[in-house]
Amino acid sequence: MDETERAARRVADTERQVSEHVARTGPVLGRASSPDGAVTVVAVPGGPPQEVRISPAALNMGPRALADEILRVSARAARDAASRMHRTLERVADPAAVRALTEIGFERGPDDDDFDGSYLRSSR
Amino acid sequence: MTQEQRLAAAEGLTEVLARTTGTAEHPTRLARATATATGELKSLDLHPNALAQGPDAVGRLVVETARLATDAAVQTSYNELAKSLGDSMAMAVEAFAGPPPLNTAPAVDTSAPRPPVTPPVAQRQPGEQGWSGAQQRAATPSAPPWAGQRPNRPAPRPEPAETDDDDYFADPFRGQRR
Repeated sequence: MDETERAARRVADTERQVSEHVARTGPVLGRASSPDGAVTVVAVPGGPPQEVRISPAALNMGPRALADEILRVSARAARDAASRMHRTLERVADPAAVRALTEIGFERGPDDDDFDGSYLRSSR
Repeated sequence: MTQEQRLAAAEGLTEVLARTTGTAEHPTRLARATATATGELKSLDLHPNALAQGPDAVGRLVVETARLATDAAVQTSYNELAKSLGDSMAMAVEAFAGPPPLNTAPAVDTSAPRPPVTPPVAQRQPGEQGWSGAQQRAATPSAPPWAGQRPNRPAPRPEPAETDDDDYFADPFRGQRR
């Protein structure tokens, strides 16, 4: 077994552990909103926005300002998703996997954010 | 390629994924996005006519365009990986990262029972504002960079399930042993 296969096996093992955990707790999602509620974005870690909600009033911003606001909120939603994935992985994976998560670009943000964990448990 | 070179190249994978961007225009031409292979939106342009579709349609438009741009970036990353690491390493990455989007992702999910985003009226009034981008970019090329590739890799040949028979029949003293 060479290094690549060992790496693939470690990835598969971690994936299985995380999958089992996520099957119990639901998907890891991040969310962010504009202060005025004009734009809300739901994101998964490492992927494009899954859902973009725009308030009717936000259409008055015009295309450029609205697009810029979507970009800003998407970036925050992505950071929120990365933070949540950290907290999820910390419960199931070994510390090396959690460190690797940071190394591949998923920063662990502060625990207290706009939604302080209530989003995943709230009914939608 | 030596083991050390392959390891160094594999460590560059993260950087490749974060650095490589893809740009896509929605089929309705109402939105254009640039994203990294990890889904980070780098730029977004909305056509003024897009806003007339209503808030829900604009939201879907952005999601679909962001996904198309991310898929393009992932495909470009795979192509870059295959060039720098060789096909065997790219296939190993594909083994645990999943196949490139060209082979898996539907272009845009049109089966869902939601009102389609309708394309804008073609004619534009003189002096009307066009794309919201600060500067008009050059039109995206009609054919993506991977257009010349075969659409599907042939399925791998199945491994023989049982190979012990070969050893058995290769033994000239088979049947005489206990």
